[in-house]
Amino acid sequence: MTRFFFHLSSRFRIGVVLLPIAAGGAPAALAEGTAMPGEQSPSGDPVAAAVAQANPRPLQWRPTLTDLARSAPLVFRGRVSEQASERDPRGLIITRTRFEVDEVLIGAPETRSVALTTLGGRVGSEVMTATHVPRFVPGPTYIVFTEPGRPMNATYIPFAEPGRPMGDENGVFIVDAARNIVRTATGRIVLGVEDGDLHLGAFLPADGTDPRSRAGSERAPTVSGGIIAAETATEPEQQLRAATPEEFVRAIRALGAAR
Amino acid sequence: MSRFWAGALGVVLSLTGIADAQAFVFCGFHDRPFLMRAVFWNSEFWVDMVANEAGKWNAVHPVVSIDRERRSTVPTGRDNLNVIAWLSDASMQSAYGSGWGTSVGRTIIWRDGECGRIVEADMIFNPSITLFTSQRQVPYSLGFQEIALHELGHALTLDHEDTTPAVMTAADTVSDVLYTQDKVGWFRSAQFRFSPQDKSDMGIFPLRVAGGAKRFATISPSTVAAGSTFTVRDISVENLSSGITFSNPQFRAFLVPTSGAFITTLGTFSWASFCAFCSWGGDLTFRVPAGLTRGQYRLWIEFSGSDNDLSNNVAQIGLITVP
Repeated sequence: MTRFFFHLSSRFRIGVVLLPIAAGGAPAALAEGTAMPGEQSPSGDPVAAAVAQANPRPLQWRPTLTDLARSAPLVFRGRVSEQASERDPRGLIITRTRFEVDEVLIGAPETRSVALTTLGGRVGSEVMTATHVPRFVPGPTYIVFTEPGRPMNATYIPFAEPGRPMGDENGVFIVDAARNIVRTATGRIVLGVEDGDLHLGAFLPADGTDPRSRAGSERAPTVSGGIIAAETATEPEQQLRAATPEEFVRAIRALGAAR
Repeated sequence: MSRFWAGALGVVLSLTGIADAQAFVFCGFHDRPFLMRAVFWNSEFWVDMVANEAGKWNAVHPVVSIDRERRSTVPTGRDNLNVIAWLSDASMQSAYGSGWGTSVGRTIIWRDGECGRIVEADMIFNPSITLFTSQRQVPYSLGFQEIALHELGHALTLDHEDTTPAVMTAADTVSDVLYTQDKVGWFRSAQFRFSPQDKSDMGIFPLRVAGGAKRFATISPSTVAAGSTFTVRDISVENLSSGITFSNPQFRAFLVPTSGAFITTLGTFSWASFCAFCSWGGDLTFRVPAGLTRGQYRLWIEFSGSDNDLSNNVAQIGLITVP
């Protein structure tokens, strides 16, 4: 039953990447055509890397709905009224989208139209995408956490300001009128808002089908020795109901009122 | 802030019939070797890590390679150069019109047509990420390797996946290993123009996705007397092969004292066979051996057989104290 630990270590070596501590830190380069002499990388110091190593902090990849509601100057419900993609002077493809606003949930209630410029789009046969950037299409009703008034030559990514929660695709929701539900920009059903954050359910693309390959599930294993039971987890969301668009809107309004 | 309306009246999810959907998504394809070039760095250290993570994808099917050519500026447009760079927030603003916010990496991809061949991919990292320890203990912290592995997945056609554990997650941390959806996703994508060889691979992971969120494995109670029981919740076992059924996979659970080097086997669990591209997620209940010496122990579970990927064959579950 008891063995010397050395037996284990050969397996562990595979999974543990032993990296030199004398790292120089990641650089912060200048983009082509920009001139920012003397700019310092925040991680260019190997001491900083060592400190981070010693005190790792969990980082949040996704802002909560509360973060978004607190940060967004404007949250609206609306539809795409105009859209065009072009190649910008930097060689990137950008898409300018104008929304006709149906309802302002947070921000200036008189807003009737919002123009956003996003990275990505199609020019001729060439398609450019930027990860985590939402893509808008004519037709659906969107709920967008946004900031109006950015210069039109700025590529718009919601809340990508220093020190502010990142919106990106996290700040975009799609109203599925036929099913009376709301989906995230990545196609997840919004089940509700719990403790100020989204409660998300299954993946449901706009056309209601799931074209993606699915993994199967195995039954619980046979156990022996000191393992006395194995129980397969159940998925609680199967029993839950999705939020309606009106419920979701009310939750956003409430978060906006509390900020 | 308390619950607003979770569980309120709405559309019953079962209407979709896919509430337990597990999926990968890819868009586009590769049909030739894909060379990416690091163009700006302070230390080879970070570039080496990107290359190391690329090796994990290449173990499924080799397409991407990393070389380096030191430059003083970073080309950001469509130029047939697949750039790897670290851009400061100000440079991101200048190059792409927006800063990092809380984002940690971004990949700009050009395709020949909608979901056509990937003709270029520029991969930009946030230099504020300095954590480079491989994450092996839950809850994970977000390290650079995980970000690199994730962004490389984008360059290899994969999109986000959040209904199961996957390094292609758009939220939360999962450590820098490939999960079933990652491997099978890239395998199926590569099949579009290549003939990748499926490899047998079983994996054990100390987390599970439930209710749309990652749940890291927990132990309850964490203080348990010798002879008593405790339960581990939310572990996953996966067959990471696209098409190979795994015969008789067996896993062993054992304790290692935090201040010692001897291990105590608790027991095993197994399946007669484990279907290809399948997973199991759930809970295990253990009985602590009656004669176990008091102390604090780490609980580990390891795959006992042999397969083609050792990186996911052992998982550290957590700590228990035997009073």
